[in-house]
Amino acid sequence: MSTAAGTRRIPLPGLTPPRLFILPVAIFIFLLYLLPNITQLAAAFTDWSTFKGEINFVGLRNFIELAETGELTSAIRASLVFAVAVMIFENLFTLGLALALEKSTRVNAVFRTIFFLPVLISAIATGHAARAFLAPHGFLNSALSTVTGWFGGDPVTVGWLVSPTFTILVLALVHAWKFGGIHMMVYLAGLASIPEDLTAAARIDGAGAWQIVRHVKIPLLVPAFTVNITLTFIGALSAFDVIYATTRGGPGRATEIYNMVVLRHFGSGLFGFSTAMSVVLVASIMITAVPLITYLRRREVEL
Amino acid sequence: MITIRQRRVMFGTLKYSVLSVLALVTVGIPLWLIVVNSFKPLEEAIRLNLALPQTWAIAENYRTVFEEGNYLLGLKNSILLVVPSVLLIVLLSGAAAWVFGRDSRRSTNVLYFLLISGVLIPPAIVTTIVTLRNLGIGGTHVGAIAFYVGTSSAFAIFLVTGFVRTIPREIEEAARIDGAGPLATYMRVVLPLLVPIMATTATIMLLLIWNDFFYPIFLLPGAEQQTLTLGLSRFVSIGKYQVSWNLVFADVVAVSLPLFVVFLVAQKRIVSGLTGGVLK
Repeated sequence: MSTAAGTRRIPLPGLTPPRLFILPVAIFIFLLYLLPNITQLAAAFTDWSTFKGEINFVGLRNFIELAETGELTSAIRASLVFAVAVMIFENLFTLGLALALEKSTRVNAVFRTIFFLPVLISAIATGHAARAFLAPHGFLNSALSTVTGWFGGDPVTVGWLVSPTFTILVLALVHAWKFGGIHMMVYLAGLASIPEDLTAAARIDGAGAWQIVRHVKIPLLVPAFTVNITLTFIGALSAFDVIYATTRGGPGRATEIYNMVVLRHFGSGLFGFSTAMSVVLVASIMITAVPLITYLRRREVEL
Repeated sequence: MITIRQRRVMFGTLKYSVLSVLALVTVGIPLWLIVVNSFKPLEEAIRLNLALPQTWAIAENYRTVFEEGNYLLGLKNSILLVVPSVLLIVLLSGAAAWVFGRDSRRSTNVLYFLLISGVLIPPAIVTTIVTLRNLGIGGTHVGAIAFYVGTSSAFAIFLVTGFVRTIPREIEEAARIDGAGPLATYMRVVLPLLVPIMATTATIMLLLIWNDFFYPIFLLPGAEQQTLTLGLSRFVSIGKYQVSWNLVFADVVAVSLPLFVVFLVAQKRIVSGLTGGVLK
């Protein structure tokens, strides 16, 4: 984050805006975000459900039972694999696109718009479409079969959405397709903030296109990396829509990420389990994302 | 011997060929499949190919979506939810961001990080529903709006505060010295300067809330309150044996259309705002 441009000076006393201006939004945030998150932390250690009148403190029992049924480990596994895959796919593709479309020419503007379009379609709609395209006799397999047919091969019958191993990666690609446009824009913003004399100087010193990318642009893009890596990772950890529309967590529990479990237990009235799984989601973010941000922030270069 | 100029032209041709193929495969074909199959009768749509319809069923499909899908009710609900949410988020977060961008006291800073923690930690669901019920606004649009203001303002405050720090404070201090109160200064001096980042923030919020599906499941369970995005799963679950993909796709097109229209009209503003605002 940059501070005010130019020389810093001591603000005139009495002229800072009154903190009363924070109050309206703070009321909303406190009542409907902070307070529910705090009570959720408490609820995760109770037997709260629709089946009982009273709510009792049960210690770690919810977490232990979630572990015994295997839901806890499968959810952690599915969520982390999904989040890491989304983070890699989304950042690689969109950084590549941003580097290719960096110059603001008319042609590039058209391409930027095209690659941004999926952002406008809701994730649930994307999921429904993906389910149709990736079905056993869906579009993708018939298109691939046409290609293999040219070479005398067999028709393709890959079960894209029913594999216990790679379906989670297919879904990560679908999720990345839907949200990538935003992150391409962030990289474009990062590239636009690099002063032209720096790249010009590197070119005069004899640096090739790749060397300029590697040694000038990438280091100066670290603030954009911080925003994008963090948002893609956290966004994927708390994702839901694409998986709900395609596999509903299956086959088995192979793609059952955190919020799928949260909704399932909420639906059956077991609020203790539901909140416990939400707390696991929060803990996952604290454990993985906070060190990640600290690391990335340390690598940001001030110009 | 190939000159540098020729090499550059060749590289450019190669680059744009690759980009064109990529755009076609990743965006063009999926969008075409959705649109063209929403024009077909069920028997044709099942085959899900790129061909134009043999029998056009535009009128039937879209009439079904409008009538059985209750499109207009969904549209009304989406607008009633999204417009007040976005306006409140942008205005209230803007006011707070002004203070956060100017006041460097430690206690203000602590408050800042507390209020933007929503950028990292997602909302709690079950306990929020209970809170809304206790406030007497469970299952209503007012409750859902309050939820979005409470949970999405974190990102808005984060974006706008970064922007406030880049604009010089002399102008507003001059206004204050000339006798303008804080509110008048905010409304007449600060707010106009914040318009670019406000537009960007509002766009991001519009996209997120309009397309949101997960939270509305909990927030708006009643059929009368259903948003367009919530209604999207309707045609998937009718007739479990054979999904009517033509209707699903027609619904996808009809639900996405308002955002495409907004995007086409405000495209320049949105793209420049997105590229300019997020990293400030």
